[in-house]
Amino acid sequence: MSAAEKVARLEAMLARVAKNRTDGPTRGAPLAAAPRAAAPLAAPPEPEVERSDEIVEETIVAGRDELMLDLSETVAEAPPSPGVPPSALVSAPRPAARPTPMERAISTELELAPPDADEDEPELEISYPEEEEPVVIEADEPSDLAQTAPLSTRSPEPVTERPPAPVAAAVEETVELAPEPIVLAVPQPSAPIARVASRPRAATFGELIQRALALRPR
Amino acid sequence: MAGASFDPGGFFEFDLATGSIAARGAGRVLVLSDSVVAPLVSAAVANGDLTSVRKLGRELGECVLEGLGGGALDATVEAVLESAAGVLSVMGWGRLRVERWGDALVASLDHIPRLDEDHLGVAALLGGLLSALAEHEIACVPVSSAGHFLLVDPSVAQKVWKWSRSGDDIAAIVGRLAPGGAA
Repeated sequence: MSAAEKVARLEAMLARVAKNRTDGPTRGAPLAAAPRAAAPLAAPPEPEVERSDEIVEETIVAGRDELMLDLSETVAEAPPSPGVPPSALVSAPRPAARPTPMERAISTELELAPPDADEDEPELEISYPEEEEPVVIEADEPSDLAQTAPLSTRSPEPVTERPPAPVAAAVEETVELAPEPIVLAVPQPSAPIARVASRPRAATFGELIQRALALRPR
Repeated sequence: MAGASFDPGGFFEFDLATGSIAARGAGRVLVLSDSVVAPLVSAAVANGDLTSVRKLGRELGECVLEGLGGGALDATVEAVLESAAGVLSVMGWGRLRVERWGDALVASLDHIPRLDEDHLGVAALLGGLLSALAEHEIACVPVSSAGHFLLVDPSVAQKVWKWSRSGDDIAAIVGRLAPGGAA
């Protein structure tokens, strides 16, 4: 859309607004809102604004006037219920708190925001495995966990399960128990271990018997 | 088998005309089975009188002395013990062995006849035999169930016997003895 077309569209909008002013009920509020409605004229047209944005902008600018018009139409056109005074309708609470123009703008912006607005931020996904599966490394197969990166950039060595100890294999084998004597070296004294003051052996039977009969309790 | 100093030849004389047996230096002897002698010895043990068995041992000792040609005190130890072992063997009392435990002497008999529970009958027989050889009273005290006897003076025989009954072995008993009782 060219600038000229935008200007022409804005002028058409101003014309409609002016027509509404002249055609609608004459109240102080719409008149007071006129200068506000002229404000968009002073602002330079934004080239990037699309048609949907224009409608939003128009709604925002004319929001207060439409609100007032809606109220006036409700009061003027709605047939009063029997038994209900018109003042009750005027002073009746609004059906719901209508968002302010700023809130609507914010909500619109949030709704229109592209879902991938935060493309720059890395998407963080945290997932937990349902069940940790033990890492089984076969002794014959080459391990995928072999480190190929330089030592300075290597991550800590992964904890892997060690192969079963050879004790298990030993248990399976049937070994007959047999005594294994521990061979001890016979001490070789360099000198007599003890010295006994021995007398010469008895040469005769009489001397032998005499020594034996001389023994008494200590 | 007796030693070289003992000749068993002609030890017994069988007189079939008179029906008697005479042992060398022991006079007439009788051949009895151990099944007959055992009750007799057991009865003597029960009565506390082993005089007859001891006397039999003395006669065997005199037989040894006769074979030695005189006294045994001046004879060598081997000659006396070989002659004693020879006489005991031909008489059927088993094979005599003697061990030195320091100054102590321990006699034993292989294939000892089982006459009583504690070998007191054989102890009396050995005591009589050795007393005849030593010309001094000797007591042989059983110190094992296998037929070992400690040769001691009769004055200490009772104490050695008590030690043996209390469970002391030969080494322990000998260790409690000293020459003359010196500590």
